Amino acid sequence: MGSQRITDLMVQVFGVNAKDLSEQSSPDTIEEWDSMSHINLILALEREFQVKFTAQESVEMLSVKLVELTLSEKGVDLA
Amino acid sequence: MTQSFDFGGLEATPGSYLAAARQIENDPSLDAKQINVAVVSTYTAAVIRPYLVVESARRDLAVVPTFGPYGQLEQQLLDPDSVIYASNPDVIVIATRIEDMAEDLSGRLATLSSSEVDEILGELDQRFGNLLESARKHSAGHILVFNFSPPRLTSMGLAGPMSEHPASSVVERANSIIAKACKNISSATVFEYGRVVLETGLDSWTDARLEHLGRIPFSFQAQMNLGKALSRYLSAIFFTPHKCLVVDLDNTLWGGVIGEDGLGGIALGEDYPGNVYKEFQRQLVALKDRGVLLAINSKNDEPDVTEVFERHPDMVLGLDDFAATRINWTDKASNIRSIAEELNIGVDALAFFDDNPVEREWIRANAPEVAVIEVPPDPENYAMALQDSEVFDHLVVVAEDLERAGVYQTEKRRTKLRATHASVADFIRDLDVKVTIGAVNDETMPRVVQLISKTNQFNLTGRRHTAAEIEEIVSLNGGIALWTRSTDRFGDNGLVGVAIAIPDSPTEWRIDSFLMSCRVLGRGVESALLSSLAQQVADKDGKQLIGEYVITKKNGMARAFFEGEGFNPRDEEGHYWEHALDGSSLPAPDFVTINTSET
Repeated sequence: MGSQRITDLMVQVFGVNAKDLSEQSSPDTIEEWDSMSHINLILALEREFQVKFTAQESVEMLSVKLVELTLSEKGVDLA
Repeated sequence: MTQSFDFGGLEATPGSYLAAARQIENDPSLDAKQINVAVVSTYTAAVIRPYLVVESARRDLAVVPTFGPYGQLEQQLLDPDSVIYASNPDVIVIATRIEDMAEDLSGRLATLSSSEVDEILGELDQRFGNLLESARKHSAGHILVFNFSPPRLTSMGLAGPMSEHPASSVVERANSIIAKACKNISSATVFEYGRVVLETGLDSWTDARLEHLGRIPFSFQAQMNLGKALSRYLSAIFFTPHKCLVVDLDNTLWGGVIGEDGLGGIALGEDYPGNVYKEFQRQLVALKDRGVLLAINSKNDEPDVTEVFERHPDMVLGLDDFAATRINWTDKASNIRSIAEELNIGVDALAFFDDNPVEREWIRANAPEVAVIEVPPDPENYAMALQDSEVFDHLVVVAEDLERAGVYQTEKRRTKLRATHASVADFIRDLDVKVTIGAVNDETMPRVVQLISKTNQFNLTGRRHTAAEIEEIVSLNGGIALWTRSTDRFGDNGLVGVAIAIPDSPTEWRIDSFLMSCRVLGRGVESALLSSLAQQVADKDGKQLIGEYVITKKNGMARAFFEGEGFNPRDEEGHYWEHALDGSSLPAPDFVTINTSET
């Protein structure tokens, strides 16, 4: 999986194990990724990467892959 | 075994709080009081869960929250089988906002007539009344009701404040309704949501994305601050607030050290840095006003401190504001224990405020029951540090609280008086005081005039009569002028006192002058002189004796004299006192032997 920082954040926010996460992880594969957790994830990402998402971006970031893409678009270097 | 969560690693981020909350909720070994908190709301409140859990754990409360589905106040509170009641709540939180409860009051103020506003507020009153009554009926838990903050969006724009129904006054009226509803129900109190929002700021409080994505009216900052504020209220519900604030003096009530800097050298006044200490003193007065006792625990020489309290023009606090004082060089932990004993409260009812970190550490180590307030290094932050310390959090203040300081003060005076009287009586009996009293004549006049001119402290009016004036008072005005000498088993004290009374009318006599040398005070001589004066006035058919007290720079010690002799105040200032002369109404102390001089 791509970014360790995203993985660490999701472990904190969702309370899941890092080994259960992949780029394909989404609300469909992670039980703990519900709408409330998604809000918490958005807020946690914003603080971790010092970015701001719009409401539209927020509702679209529904997989680890999409989170990475959106962050890259905002100039965040995940390497 | 006492255990608590390690808050050292906690960061102000959603991830850190979420992880901490999970850890706290899954660790039954943590030593905290478990309370079930059920929240009903008109919006999605569950987002505050981690902040509520973590901040409550910080306050030794293991909160188990239950959130009802949003927008179902009646469904949850009117139905005895709802998930709210099923959670067996110790606290029911009713979280609403004006936008949800009375949409028109936030959005349509421009078009509403006064009677329509009244009608909507009436409905609100009815609704809160029903919800609270029902909650009280179906649960024994405490009920905590959010009041309203101003709505985020204004309906009248800049014209709002001068419109017929300014949003602020509508919110205020609604908040009065919420407060009234709480007062009508036992164990129901207001959660001052409006103020919590204000402290954070309306802009920082809201997050338009969360509002529209999830009907969440709280930004991340707001979630955290709301969790803190709610847990503070929970703590106030379940823990007894402290009763007494014990304060240091130097660099706490004033800047600098009185013993070194002197009265003119300490910082206290209207400008920096003195104004920060003055602000802090004002805050202590406010604490006292709402029932918190104040005490002093200071390493100082007492006379230095007394001088500050009595003479510094910028002192807000007086010594009378303190229920107990320890101004000495004893260690502060011993002092603090003896303060608790004197006030008859537990050591754990005390909080300690001292700028010196060494003293704070000493109290933590040697009187661990005391709540030691963390004092910031810069004094301008003292007042906020005290407010944020949470140690005096009362959800309601009752009449007894408002009177408490006075009750303690009266008791202190009584105790002091009793103690003084007991010892003085014994002391005087031992002394075998003999008093001789006579009318001022040519022989005694020089000493009388001298005593009048040089007696400052126990001199009730401070009038400096000359010999001619005294002769005039006696011969022209028909007044009485007496002198007194005293002896005791240690020797003759000489002529030590003077009293002059003038008839303002045939029946009403006024004590124009009354003075006594300080070295014989407190041995009954002054009472004996007053008694003789009263007797002589009564012999001349005087019916009423008026005591006069004129405050001067130095005669503060005499202020209570007439009161102590059983006179009644004639005015509020303690300027005139009166005593009816009906035979034996002003007896001389029985331990003083009085001779009347005929010469």
